[in-house]
Order: sequence, then C-alpha cells, then structure tokens
Amino acid sequence: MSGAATARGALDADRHAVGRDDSNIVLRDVSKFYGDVLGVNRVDLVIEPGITSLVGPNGSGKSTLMNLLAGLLRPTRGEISILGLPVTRPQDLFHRFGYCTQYDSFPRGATGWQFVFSYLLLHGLDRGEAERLTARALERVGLARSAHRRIAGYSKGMRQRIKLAQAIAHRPQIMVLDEPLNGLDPMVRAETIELFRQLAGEGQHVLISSHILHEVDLLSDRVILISNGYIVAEGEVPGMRAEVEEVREQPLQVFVRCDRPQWLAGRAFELDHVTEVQLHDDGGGLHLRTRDADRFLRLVAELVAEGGVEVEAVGPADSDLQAVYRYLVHEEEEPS
Amino acid sequence: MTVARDAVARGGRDWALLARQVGGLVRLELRRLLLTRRAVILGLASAVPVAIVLLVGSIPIDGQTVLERFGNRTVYETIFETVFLGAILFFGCLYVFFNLFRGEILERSLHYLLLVPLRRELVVAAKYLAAVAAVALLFAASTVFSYMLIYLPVGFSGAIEDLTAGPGGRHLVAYLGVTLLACIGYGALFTLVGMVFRNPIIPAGALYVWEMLHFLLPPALKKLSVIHYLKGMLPVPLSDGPFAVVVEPPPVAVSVLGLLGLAAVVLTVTALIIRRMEIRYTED
Repeated sequence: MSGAATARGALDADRHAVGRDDSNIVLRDVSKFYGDVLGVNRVDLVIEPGITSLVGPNGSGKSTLMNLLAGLLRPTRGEISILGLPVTRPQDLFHRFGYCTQYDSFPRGATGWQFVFSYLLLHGLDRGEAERLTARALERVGLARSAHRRIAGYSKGMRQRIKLAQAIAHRPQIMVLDEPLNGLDPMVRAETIELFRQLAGEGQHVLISSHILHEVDLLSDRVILISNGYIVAEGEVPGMRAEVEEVREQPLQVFVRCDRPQWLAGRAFELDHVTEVQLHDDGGGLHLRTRDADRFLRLVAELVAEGGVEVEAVGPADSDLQAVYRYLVHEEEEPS
Repeated sequence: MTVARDAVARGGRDWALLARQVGGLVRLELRRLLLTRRAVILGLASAVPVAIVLLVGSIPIDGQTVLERFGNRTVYETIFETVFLGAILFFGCLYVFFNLFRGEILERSLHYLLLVPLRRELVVAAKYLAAVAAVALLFAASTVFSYMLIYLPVGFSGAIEDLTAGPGGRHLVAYLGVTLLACIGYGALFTLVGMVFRNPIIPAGALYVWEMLHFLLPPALKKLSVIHYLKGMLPVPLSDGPFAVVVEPPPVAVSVLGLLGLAAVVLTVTALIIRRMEIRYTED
C-alpha cells in the first residue's frame, strides 16, 4: 500500500495546489463497508476535468465508488463533494451530474425515446427543450433510428448506448459511466470513445470504469487503479510507472529486435541487473527484464557501435498501464 | 437547462421549476398506472361492485329483486362495506401502493428516479399523489356507477329526484369521501410497507386481519384501525353482529383529519427511509 500512501501524499499536495474543490470531484477519507465486508477504504481523491478511468478487477470497488459519487450508496465514513456540492443534495447536484450505471434494467415497456425524454422532463425542462435534448442525445449515441422501438427489444450494445444517452442527455458537467463500453461492437466502441473525447474536450468530467486496460490506456487523461477497495495508484498514464515507487522498483521489460538475439541474450545474462531473458519465437529478437534499463540500453548501444549486433528496434515493453496494473494489483483475476 | 442551473447557482429555490419537476413525475407515474397492465387489473377489480349491484338490481327472485326486497340503500351499504371497502379497496391499494417503490426495486429501475434533481421526499410525495389520483379515479368511478344502479327499480326520474331532493346525493358524496380517504389512508400505509418489506403477505395479512376484526376490538384499539374511521362516515348504519363491541362512531371531521394525519405521519416516515436509502439491488 505504499503506492497508495505515495499517491495520497501527492494528492494532499495537489489539493492545496489546486484549491478549486468547486470544479472537481473530491473524496476525503471515504470508506464504505457492507456490514463486515469492505467496499472501499480510505479513499482520498481529487478528480479534475477530462477523462479519468477507474480500473480494477471485478469486485475491486469500482462500482461502489461510483455509486458513492452518485449518492446511491452512503459512505460509512468520509465526505464527498462534486463541484463543491454535497452528494446529499440531489436537487442541486443532478442538474450537473449524469450517471450511467452497471444495471441493465429499464422502466417496463419504455421505448428509447420515452426513456430519455421522460427523465429529462423530471429535470424541469419544457417539452420542446426536452425533445431537442432527447434527439441530440440519441443522435450522439447512434440510436436515432431505433428511438421509437421498445428497449426490451434492443441488443445489449443498444441498451448500453441508451443508458449512455440518458446519462448525458441533460448535458451534465460530470459524467460517471460504469463500464460504458461493455457489449459494444468494435465500431460502436470506437465511436463511443470518440464521444467521450468530445465531451472531455468540452471541459466536462468523464469518469469511466473499466477492466479493459488497453482501451483505458488509449482514451484516458488519468487513471485510478483500485484493488480490494483501496486506491493503489493514480495519475497520468505515461508518468505513472515512474511515479509509483513500487513499480519503479520492479524490473522493466525491454524488447530488442536484432539479427543475433541468442548472442545478445548471452551478453545480457552477464549483467547482474538482468533477471530474465526470453527469445522471440521467430528468432528475430528477445524480451528481457532488467532493474537498470539505462545500463542495458548503454550496453546495446556499445555492442551496436562495435558491430557485434544489428538492432532493428529496441524499447520498453511494459511501461504502459498493463505493467503498472500487473505490478500493483496482485489479483488472480487479471483483466483482459 | 439554463433555468435549472441558474436556480441552483443562485442557491435559491425556483418554485416554477420545482412545480414542473413534480408535475412531470406525477404525469409519468399516472401514465405507468393508468396505461399499463396494472390499470386493467384495477379496472376489473373496480368493476366487481358494479357487477354485483347490477346483479342484485336486475335479477328477480320470487318476483322481486334483492334491491326491492331489502331496500336499495341497505343493500348498497352492505355491498359497499363488505365487498368494496372490505376487500377491493384494501387489496387494490395494496396492489398499487406496495409496488410504488418495491416494484421499481424489483425491476431495478428505482435508481433512475433517485438520480433526478429532485429531493427524495418529493419523489415519495409525487409518486404517492399520482397513485392516489389513479386509484381514486378508478374506484370513484366504480362507486358512482354502482351507486347509480341502485335506482334500477325506480328509473331515471326517481334517481334524479332522490339525488337532488332526497338523501341520495348526500349518500353518494359520503361514499365517494370514504373511497377517497381509504385510498389516502391505505395508500400511505402500503407505500411504507413496500419500502420496508420485500414480501407483502405477512404485513398486509396482519393488517387485513386487524382491519376486518376491528369490530371485536376494545374501544381504545378501534382507534388504531383505518376502517373504524371510514365506517364512521358511512351514511347507513349496519349492525356488526352480536359479538361486536359497539362504540359511538367518531365525528366526520375527526375521521377526515385523523386519516389525513395518519397519511402525513406515515409518508413522513417513508420519506425519512428513502432519504437514507441505498441502492443495492442484489439484496432485493
């Protein structure tokens, strides 16, 4: 948990630096227990505008955290404020907050249009404005042509999108989306990711939970890693490996594509900081783990200069989110 | 949206906005109650008294209908008290109000309502008002239709005369008042029951036994039953049988205020529960 402690320390500094709780999502020492069962524990976060992904395996506390933000659960301890508003004041908060939950359920008998439109009316909009926003939301999620069909007849992907439309229809500043890419085919998935980017580009908060790491890696400005109810790391994806102490201490995986991988593997094993070497199946390169990537890369440069080996490509193989996740989240159930 | 956000930004309460939101929820709930299968079931239930009065008013036995033989007011009072008040209103209200929140919990759609910018107490109030309006509409229609059928033996002109110059109009108003107050009182109780209990059988069964046996209760305990106040407002007094503990019926004002007060208290408790409510459908 030292990573989390580090993250919390950095957070405190951030909070003082930011000093703008009225434009952020702020959780202070938030814990949630279901009887004796831990939901989330001692969560301290300040989430700024942009796309933030909440990543963790099933049961790690992602949905609990999101339900706490939406006021659907009450924290056992701690405080939550969103744009400076407490979550206990729905009459103020939900004009600015949209939540796409994990629940695949809808009011009985509703069509897609009725579903989005009727809840917009509950925001106090007149019919004309509600109709305009309904049409716009359905257009944005690509359901305009199926709007007047009953949701019960929708595919899983369509149901996912109609929930998304309902969550964004009133143009909230904060969008909390629980696994919003589940069930979407690749094309719609790409369109939806683009929609998230548009929304974030408009200055909105988009908080997404996911266990599909490579997508999160591509679309997020920031990532929060959660495991067993604890925040184990948070930050911008590219810098996270360097920031998180536990990960920094782990061997870095490096790949080399070259003409003499076996010979290079032999030289690498002579180095005390290299812990593992694996040759590629095609015989055209190798992967290795080293505690001192800089020294290894210097060796490669020297060998190339001496003409001992011709290198086609070399670089870190696991500086992405997957690596950070693997190091920090010691779960049997690895995310995809 | 600008209007709503401006109101929030001002920190003040925009009453027009609030009225639109509550009105929107009442209309949404009314559509759910009146344009779905639930309405068909309620409609069929509310048709039962009409059918019974039609039966006893049109089929002669030994040359006379039951209405003619025993007197139309007494027959109607008996049907209203035993069939309508004693079963249809009670179970009709149970069916609608118990499912007001419990139904949404079971369908896993309650969170949509809890994510709208409206205080949860107002969500309770709006759903309850819509349900009272829907149920009272159906049951009031049933009361009016069934009551008009007691005039089958005297015809249209006799009906008009009794309703305008005789006691018929006053009686009809009394029956309509009892119908409305029953919806208000039982409705509030079953809304709370639906919020607290997953299965209505035990609490509703216990309440039904209590209500049906109220005539055996000592005077102090009678005051804790809804039906005691409702029966006190009925226009034609009927005997509760030889074992009944007879007490003076409460004044109409006490009955009305008592039932409205009961509904207010029960709805306040319901509102307090929903304020602290968490959405954890897996437990339901």
